[in-house]
Amino acid sequence: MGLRALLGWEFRNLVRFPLLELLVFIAVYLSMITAAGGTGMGMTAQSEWSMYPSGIAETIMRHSLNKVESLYLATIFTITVFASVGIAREVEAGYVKVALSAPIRRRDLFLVKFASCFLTGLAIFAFALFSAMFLRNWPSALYIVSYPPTLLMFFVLLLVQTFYVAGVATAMAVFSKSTAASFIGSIGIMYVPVYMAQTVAGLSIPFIPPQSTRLFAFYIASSRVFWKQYDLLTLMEATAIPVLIASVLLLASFVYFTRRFDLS
Amino acid sequence: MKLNLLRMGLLIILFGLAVMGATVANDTISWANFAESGNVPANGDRITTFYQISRTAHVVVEGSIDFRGKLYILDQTGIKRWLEEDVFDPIVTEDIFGGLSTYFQPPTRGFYAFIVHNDLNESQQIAIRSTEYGLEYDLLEVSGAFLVVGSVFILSWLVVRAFTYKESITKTSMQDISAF
Repeated sequence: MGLRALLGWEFRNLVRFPLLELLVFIAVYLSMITAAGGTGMGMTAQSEWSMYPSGIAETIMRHSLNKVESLYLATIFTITVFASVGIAREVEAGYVKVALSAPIRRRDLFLVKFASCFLTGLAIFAFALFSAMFLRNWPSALYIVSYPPTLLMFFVLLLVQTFYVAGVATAMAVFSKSTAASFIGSIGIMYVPVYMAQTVAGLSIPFIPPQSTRLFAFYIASSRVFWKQYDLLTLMEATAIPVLIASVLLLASFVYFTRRFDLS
Repeated sequence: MKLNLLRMGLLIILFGLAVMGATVANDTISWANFAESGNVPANGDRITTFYQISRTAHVVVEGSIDFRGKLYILDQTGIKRWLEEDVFDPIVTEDIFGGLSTYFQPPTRGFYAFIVHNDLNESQQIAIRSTEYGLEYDLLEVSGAFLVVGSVFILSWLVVRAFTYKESITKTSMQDISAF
């Protein structure tokens, strides 16, 4: 079985009815809810019309960046469900053993399982966030499209957050080998920083989401103000450390799955 | 094919329901847009711009009791014409006598400029604020359209399924008859 066919099979497994429908509904609802402007998006008057399109695009982008962080809990839930169903449950039920009895390399199976969780989660949230952004600002859609770097930065922010969640959830699913332990463990591990930040002031951890996403979004939205409050080390913590943590966890689980994983 | 039509229909309907639900949930509360205060120069303007107005806006201007002036509201096209061609064509003009409380229903969601003009020969201290309330009807219309499109997909699936079922029944019946 080719890698492509395997990936297709995994995707179909994850997006089966009614999982995809339910998750799309949750993601779109939360994206639209957070897109609403309780405090609104202020804009200063410009002296020339040519400054307005970029000003409007930047205003929309600044406002939309915060939504990535607000979708963190939904991202945890979605990708943990995918990893638990796609990896831990299949190990527990013995489907991985069946799959490996076919001429499939362990390396390919691991990569396909991680890629399907990560890409499906990313696709759902990117679709929901971009839909909300364009629906709420449809008269300015052309202005948004005219400034691709802002859209790209928005996507990069979502990508980093989703990669971190997918890395932790995949590692937890591989090491736990149990659907329940993977689901509860992943949500527990990733929810602790959110809980800490909400309950104890000053206890937020800057190098993992959601705090790292907030700092990264702050940097993208207004780098000049960011440099007045933070230094390069903080920016590195907010951008590179989550990716590094996820990569190390993925590498460890990859080595474990391909070399040490006992299927008997 | 049949399965895809059904799932596409369901996805579109759920998308529409999510948009509708979120819009209604958002719109149950009013939003404070802006609140500014400052001087308006003699025979001059104070310009407040806001992105974006999507619901009915309640605009309040407060000044001293002898303040006389006007409130102009410009839409995006109006701002463009004003800045590029120097043509001032507001969509709303209201007289201010000391203060003003007015309601503005935006023709479409977007960017609007609120301009307070001072008719007096001395500068005046004013405060202007706006809150939004009501429903975002354009989003509700869009979500309604998604519900209709999704329903059409599901109906198509039902029609295709009914015909396929009928054909298979006919074929089976013909086979049964030919067997005799």
